Order: sequence, then structure tokens, then C-alpha cells
Amino acid sequence: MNIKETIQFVEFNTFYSEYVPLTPYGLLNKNKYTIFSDKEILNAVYNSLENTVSFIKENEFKSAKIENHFKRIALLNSLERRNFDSSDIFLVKKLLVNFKGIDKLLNDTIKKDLQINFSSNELLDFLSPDGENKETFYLSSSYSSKLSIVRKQISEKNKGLAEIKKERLHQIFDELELDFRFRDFIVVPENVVNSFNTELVFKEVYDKTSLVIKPILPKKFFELHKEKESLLEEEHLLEQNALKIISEKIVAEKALIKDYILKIGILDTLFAKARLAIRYDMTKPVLNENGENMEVLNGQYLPLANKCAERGTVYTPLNAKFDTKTIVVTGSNMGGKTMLLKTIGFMQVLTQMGFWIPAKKFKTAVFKNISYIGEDLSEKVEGLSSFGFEIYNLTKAIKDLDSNTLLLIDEFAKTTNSIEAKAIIAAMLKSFSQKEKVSSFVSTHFMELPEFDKVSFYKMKGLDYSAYQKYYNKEKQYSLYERIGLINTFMQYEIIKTSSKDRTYDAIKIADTLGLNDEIIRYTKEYLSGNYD
Amino acid sequence: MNCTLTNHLVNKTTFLVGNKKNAGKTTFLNYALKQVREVVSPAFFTIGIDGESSDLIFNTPKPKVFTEADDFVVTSDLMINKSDALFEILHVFPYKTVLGRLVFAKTLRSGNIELVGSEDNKQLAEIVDYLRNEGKIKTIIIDGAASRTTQVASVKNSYFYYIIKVDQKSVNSDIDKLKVVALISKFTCFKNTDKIKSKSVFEINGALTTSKLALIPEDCEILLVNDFTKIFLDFSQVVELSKRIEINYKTPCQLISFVVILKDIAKGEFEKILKQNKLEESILYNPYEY
Repeated sequence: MNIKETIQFVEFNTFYSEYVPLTPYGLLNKNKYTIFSDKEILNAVYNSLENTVSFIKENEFKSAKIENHFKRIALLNSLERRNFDSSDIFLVKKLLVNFKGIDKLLNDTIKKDLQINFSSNELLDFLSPDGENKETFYLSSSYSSKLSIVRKQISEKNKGLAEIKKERLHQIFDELELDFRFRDFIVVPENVVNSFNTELVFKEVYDKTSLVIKPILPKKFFELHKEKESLLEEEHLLEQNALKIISEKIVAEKALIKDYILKIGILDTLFAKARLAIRYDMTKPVLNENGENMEVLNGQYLPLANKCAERGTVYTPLNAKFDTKTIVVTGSNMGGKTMLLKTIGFMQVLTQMGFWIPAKKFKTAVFKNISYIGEDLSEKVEGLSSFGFEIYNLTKAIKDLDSNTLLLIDEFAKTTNSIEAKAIIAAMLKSFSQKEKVSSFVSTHFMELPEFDKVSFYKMKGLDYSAYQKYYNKEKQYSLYERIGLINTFMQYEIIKTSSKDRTYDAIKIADTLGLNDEIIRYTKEYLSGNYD
Repeated sequence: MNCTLTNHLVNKTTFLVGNKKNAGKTTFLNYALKQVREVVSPAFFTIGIDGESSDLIFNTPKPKVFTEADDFVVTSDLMINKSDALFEILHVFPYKTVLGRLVFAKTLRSGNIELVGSEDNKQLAEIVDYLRNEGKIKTIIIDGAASRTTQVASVKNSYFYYIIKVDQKSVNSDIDKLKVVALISKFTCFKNTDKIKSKSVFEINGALTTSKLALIPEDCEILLVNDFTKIFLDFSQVVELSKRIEINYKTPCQLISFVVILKDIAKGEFEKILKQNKLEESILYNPYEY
């Protein structure tokens, strides 16, 4: 399903940015923007979410510990290999340590629901040869007795090398007063160098006046170094063998590890969704078969509700029960028609992404297609007018109306002539209302559209003009922002059932409120009453 | 042991920044590490793979970095596998370089290690955050990329040494660079944040370049720049500007000292040049000098 336009229209990402999975696997899931269109899967997700919400509410500290484990999990390199190096093994071990921790903290309900069961203790112990289930990893000498012997020999050589070097540096200091303890070389003026014993130091040109002096180490140093080099080669081979054995163990448990990764991704996203569900007091959506009787009780369009909360303005939640599947929404400018469509779209996207809903109740269907048709979308086609673009989008959206489809159509054809625009909208309503699987919300300014069977008309309640008039002071010079504030204060963002014959003349009131001059307002009113000369 | 240097490095995050490629940063890093290890176990890493294939002193392959047991390093997994030292992997960062994923490791057995790091300032800041918070490491030394100082500003509460190679052939431009860094590193941090929106304070977004000078209002008293790495003016332009306006930074970055590596120029001659240019900066001369 391509719902890119709908996501943009409902400003979904302002909410989505608050959805924060903590593991790379949870983030990968987030970035997929998966829309589920299977009712059973969605109900399973809601139930898992319900288990998670209950768990978090009852086990705040355990939940915080689980989330801490999430934060510690890193993205594994590919498991589709036969050989792993130390950092690959480290990542596997870290994943196992943290998944084991999560498994211990979860309750049986969640574990049973998601089929979580850590059963890699043997592998984890093998990756912790020194007995501790620490997250860190190093190729311990315990993996091979030969490796242990070789490493001991290397350490002895290192000690020997250090002693020889220390002795030689002392000798150089005693004889030449050159201190190489913290320096690998010293830049010395040429005239000073001439007196140096060339058996102890090596000289080469630095610049026109100075030479670089380096200590010459005794022959036995190089002999010992050579022995160390061959031990290092042997160590490398033994390490490769140990890595091979560890790799085989990991490959043998590849399927289990992949399952842990899958479960971590699911669990992490559930925790992130549950945190939002608790924060916004969300509820589980109620899914019906085909979109009949969509219902919203106290529904919050969070992108706007949060803005209102920030600005200290009042947000009116949506309460509506729609009795048909083809809904026409009319109302004043700035009256909230578009917000109604955004609220429905937002809740529907939340529903189908497996979130709960910021509402007391949201009853809806699962749609295979969700489309927005309106203006201001980014995917513009060169050469198309606004109207052309709307037609292009509409054509795309109604290609397949045999599957459950939700259409959100915002002020369609408002840029073309009103007679033809109204005719097209009427035709759309007639067509959609006859399609069993189509639910549509059509916002429009056009009044007196024809009545069709199975088409319901709703309107936004609009401006409380009498209350506004009592408050408004004609003499005061209001700024534009003050005027917008006034409209918001006296606008009633509620939806009421109406008929196709209802006439709303809020546009004149809004124009008046925004400061349009008296003469034009008067002429407009005269024109509407038929007394226009 | 150079106690001053050690005191400057211990419990701090310090960048080694150079004025050009092969300025001697890595050689200085090796010297600094030897000093610091006398007091604490340091963490160290580099920025990017800057293409410095040879060392200024010998004009031979880039100096190797030697790691001792209990050091902490950040490099790529490939370099860890290649090293003759032995490491315990403490973390694998989600950043990839052409030479593998970046790894944070503790040295268990000493040896040589090639350093590979991230060139991305955001990743760099995240690595330092991880080392400080998760690794509980207080002494971090970063071998910075040549001629790029923006990295210093990406890490909060960091310090830097400016390693400047002064060559007879390029002495004038080297001195100019030293003069600019000396001057701009002295501008203070803007403290009165309430007044940022005041008319007397003008804030430059991004870099302060010659073309942006014209944007500065005549009546402004304080010019606010994010940090010293955002100033891309020559010495005379900075002098001219600082005469008519106070330049302040939003983010502090502290220069500890210049480290001067002289080539084909005698120390006495160089000191004369410093005097002529009225430069009285804290200078650490090549610690490898006799």
C-alpha cells in the first residue's frame, strides 16, 4: 500500500518521531513504515501491545531494565558466513547476554505470546571461557592449550625484549646523555653528533643542521624479536583455529540467533508503542469488517493537540458516529473540515501500523488502500495544474475499488469553476456510495449537493457568532494574530449531522472578523439576499 | 618525564591538530602516550584515514602507534585483527569505514596498532560520549585530521594542541597560520545568553568567511560565532574585524599550546620571528629535540 501522501497529509511524522525503539532491529522495523491490512494480524498486535502495556504498568523497574538491555544491543554483522572474527563474536555474545537478561525479566504472558525462550546458555558459556557472562569478548587462551603456551612464550619474549632495550637505553644515557625513555628518536645538531659513539646510535639526516639519532639495539634483541615473530605467526594460526571452532558453534545456532533478533525487534517496537499508549492514554481500536459505522469518541489528533497544548490554546477532540460510508463534510473556512479528515486519516494510519489510538473509542475497518486526494503534496507532476494534479491523484486512488478502500478527499476541485466542480463531486459521491468496499470522507464548500442513498452530510458547527459579537470591540485595532485567535476562540470544532440542503454563510462572518471592510461585506450580503443592484 | 604535558592531558579530551599533512601529529601522539601512561591508562584514536602515508621526520611510512596493556583504543575491526597486540573487544560502533567497523577495545598485550577512525563529526562526538559515559574513561587523546579543526568543536569540553610544522620554505605562511590561531583562540565565550537576541549582538550562522563580513551590521557590538573553527579569515581580516567589534564564541574550545616542529630553521631564528610578530604564545618545541 502506498500511503506516502496520507502520511504527509496527516503530518504523521510529528507523532512518529516520538516512537523510539531502542535497538537497531526495532529501528529497522520503524523505518519500514509497515502498514498491516490483515485484521487478524492487527488484533494479534493489539493484544501483544495490551500485554506489554500491562507489564510496564505493573513492573516499572523491570521495564526500565529491559529497556536498558535494548539500548545495549548492537546490530550484528551478517550471520550468513562460516567464519566470524572477534568483533563478530563480540556482537553475538552481547546480543545473547542482553537477550538472556530480557528473557529473565519478562513475564510468562509476554513470553508465551511472543514465544520467547532463551535457550543458548551453552553457547553463551562457551563464549565466556573465563566464567563470566560479561558483554565483552577476547579470544582467551582457554580456547586452546597450545594457544595458552604460545602466548606465555610471547610474553616471555616481550619481557626479554623490554629488558634488552632498557639496558641499551641506560647504556646510551650513561655514555651519551641521550634520554630515549619517552622518545623513539632524538633530533640532534650536527656538531654535537660528531662526538657520539656510532656503535650505540644510528644517524640520519633531518635537515641542514641536524641529524636524527636512534638507538642501535644489540644483536640479541633482533634474534629475540625474530623468535617472537615466528611465535606471533604460530599464535595467529592457533587463533584462526579457535575462531573456526567458535564460528562453527555460532553457525549451529544461527536459526536460534535469528529468532532472537526477530523477537528483539518485535519486543522493542511493542515497548516503544506501549510507552506511547501509556503517555497518551490510548485505547485499542475496534475493528469491524467493512467500514460501516465508523465511530470516534474523544479522538485526539495529536499533531494538533500537542501544538495547542504548547501554545496554551484549547483543543477540541473529535466525537462522531458516521452512519454511512460516504461522508460529506461541509462548514466554515477555518472551521476544522480539513482537521476532521486529518484526524480520521491519522487514526486510521495508527490503527494499521499497530498502534493504539488516542481516543476513548475508535471503531473502524482495515483498509487495503488509504488515499488522500487534495493539494500541497510533494510528488508534483510537471505541467499539471492544481486541478490536474487532483484528477491525477484521484485516478490513481480509484484504480482498485474492489478491496477495502479509504478515500480522504479534501476540498476537491476548489480551483476550477464551481459548476463543473460541483458536478464532479456529485458524481464521485454517487459512484463511491454504490461501491460496497469504499469508505470516503469528502470535505467541500459546495452547498446543495444532490442527495444520494447511502451518502451522509455532516457539517462543522462553525463560528459562535453571537458570542463572538458580544466580545468583539469594533473600535479596537486588532492585529492579524489577534483576529485569528478570536476565530479560534469562538469557532466550535464539533461535527453535527446535517442535510445536503443546509446553507452555511460563515465565510462572510470570518471575512468580517479578519477585518474586510464594511462596504464589501454590505454588498456581499445584499447580493446574497437578492437586493444587489 | 614531561610533567606539564602529562598534567595537560590527564583527565581531559585532547585533540592533536596539525597545520598540514605530516605535521608530526602521530609522532607527538606516541610521545604524549608514553608520558600519560605513567599516570593513567589513556584512550586514543584517530579521525578518518587522512592519507598521511609518511612521517615528516623520516619521510618513511607513517609512524606506527604502539599500544601498551591497559590502554583503550578505537580503530577498525580489521586493524584489530591485523595487530600483533592482543585486545578485548568492549564495543562495536555502528559506523563503517572502508577498513571495517569501528571497535572500542582494551589492550591486553602490547603491540603496534594502526588507527582508523570516523571522519564524521557527529560520529566522533558519539564515540567520545561513549568512551566518557560507558567506558568511564577520563583521558582521551585524538589524533586529528590535518588542516581541519572543526572536529575539535564537535566534542564538548575538549582541548587541543596545535602542531605546526615550520619549514624554511613556507615560514611566512606558517607564521601567518600561527598568528591567526593564536589570535582567534583568545576570543572568549559569550556568557550573557539572554542577550543573544539583543540588537547589539549579531550571530553568524555557519562559517565566518570574507563574503559574510558584509552582513555584519554597523551598529553591532558583539559578533557571535559558534566556535573558533568557524573563522575562515586571514590574519589581517581578523585584526581589522576585532578592532571594531568584540568577537565571542558560543562553544568553547581551549588551545593548550602550540607544538612547533622546526625544519631547516634554527630555534633562535624562529624566536626572533615570533618577537617581530609580537607572538608570546605558549609554545612547546619539538619534544624530540636534543
